[in-house]
Amino acid sequence: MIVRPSSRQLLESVREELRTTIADAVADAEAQARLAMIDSVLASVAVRSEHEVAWIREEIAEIEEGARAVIAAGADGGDRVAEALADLDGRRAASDLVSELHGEYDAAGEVLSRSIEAALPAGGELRQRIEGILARRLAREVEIRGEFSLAGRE
Amino acid sequence: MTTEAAALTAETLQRFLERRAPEGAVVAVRDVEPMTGGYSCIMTRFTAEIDGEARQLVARQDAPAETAVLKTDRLLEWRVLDALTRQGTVPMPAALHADEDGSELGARTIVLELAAGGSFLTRVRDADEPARREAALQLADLAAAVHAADVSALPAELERPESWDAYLDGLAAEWRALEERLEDSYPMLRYMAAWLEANRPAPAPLGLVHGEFQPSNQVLDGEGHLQAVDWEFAHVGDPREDLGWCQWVEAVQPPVLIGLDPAAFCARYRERSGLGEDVVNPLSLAYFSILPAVRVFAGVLEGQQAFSDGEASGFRTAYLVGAVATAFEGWFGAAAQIEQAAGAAQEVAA
Repeated sequence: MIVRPSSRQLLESVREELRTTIADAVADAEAQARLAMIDSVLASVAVRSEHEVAWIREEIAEIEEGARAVIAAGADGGDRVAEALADLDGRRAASDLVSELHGEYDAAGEVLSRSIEAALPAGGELRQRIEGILARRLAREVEIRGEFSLAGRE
Repeated sequence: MTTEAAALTAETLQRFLERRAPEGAVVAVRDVEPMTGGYSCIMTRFTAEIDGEARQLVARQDAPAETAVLKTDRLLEWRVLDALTRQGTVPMPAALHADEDGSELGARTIVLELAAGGSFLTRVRDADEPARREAALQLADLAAAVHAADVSALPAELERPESWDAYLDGLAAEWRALEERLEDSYPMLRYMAAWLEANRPAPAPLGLVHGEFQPSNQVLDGEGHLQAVDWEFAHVGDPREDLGWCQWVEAVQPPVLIGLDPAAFCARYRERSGLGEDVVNPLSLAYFSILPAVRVFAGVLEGQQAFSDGEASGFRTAYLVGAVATAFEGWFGAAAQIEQAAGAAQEVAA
């Protein structure tokens, strides 16, 4: 498998070509707006290609730790967090294939949602801890997105 | 009946207008040109000459189902526009005609006047800061005029909430319902649903809400006055939805207008609407920059699910993944800002 140049480098070269060669040759306003959108999508894919598997693994681990903290604090009324954790255990990816990992990540998302619903009313450090997981997930979504300004609306 | 858009031609538009012109009138259509923008519909501008009098018009037409990023009800939009045009108090280009079932123009279509002064967004993008501050006040004036519309004259199909509390309960419930409908889990939606329920602001009188009140949906008439266009999300609700939404959109689509001085914007809106400071203030705007966003983002997220499942192919849907991340960032930030301000106020009171 040829891994160098990396996927990110290849995608960045496409972006560069679109910006420096293709964009100047496009006069139509709608097509220019589409080029801006294409650049935005390619930039996001470049970041995802570099980090997606690692970030998913890291986040799942952090969510599990947070959920266990919710249970340990006695905040899991109705055992909803515990149930979601059990479901997560049953949906482990057999490999690092992204499509398999997505299923496990989705189950972890439900664990996080239920942890949030338990920790928000509990407040204090528990709430801060769970909100911190959500904030770090958001920070990565923003890093993947990069700069964003809605193109093509006048 | 069809909902698939076909390219509009001068001939089809001319036949359409001939059927609606006074008997014997001579109708000619020329300069048919597509317009950029429009995430749910196809926009086409054209010149119609009726008995020698030229009018600049625009057609808003359903986009093909597989490429529409947002799916909205063009028929209801037409009925709202028609009612507002008859009412005559809301600044907007007059709605003239509709192809209600798509049998004449290939898809459901609304024909309106084209505002002579062009795009408000284009004007404010090039404006200096004093001009943008002034533009924010114009927005406040336009919003107050929209919200003052007579709701009793709007179409019966437009839902009237029982009460403000019931309305907010319903909106908050939409966040959870959306997450349940989606195949993938979205912890941010669940977080916001819980947060919105726990941090409700003071109530406001319900009224007409534009639903997508933002500079890209505002135009200037021939005298430079602001008008509202693109009414597909219009509904009866809390007027602060428009104010909060507009402030949020600035983060995605600069320039910043309201954000230059949210207090001044709120003061102007209060002056025009008669609402009190307990109801309209920068924090209540921040709350409403989150709450109603579920309506627009439901369409975006469901579109992305269809895209992921291979049931939709529109490129704009792929592009709007970035808008979702921006929305999450804005909502989370606004919630933190409101809580910090509320905490500071409690400390002062203590």
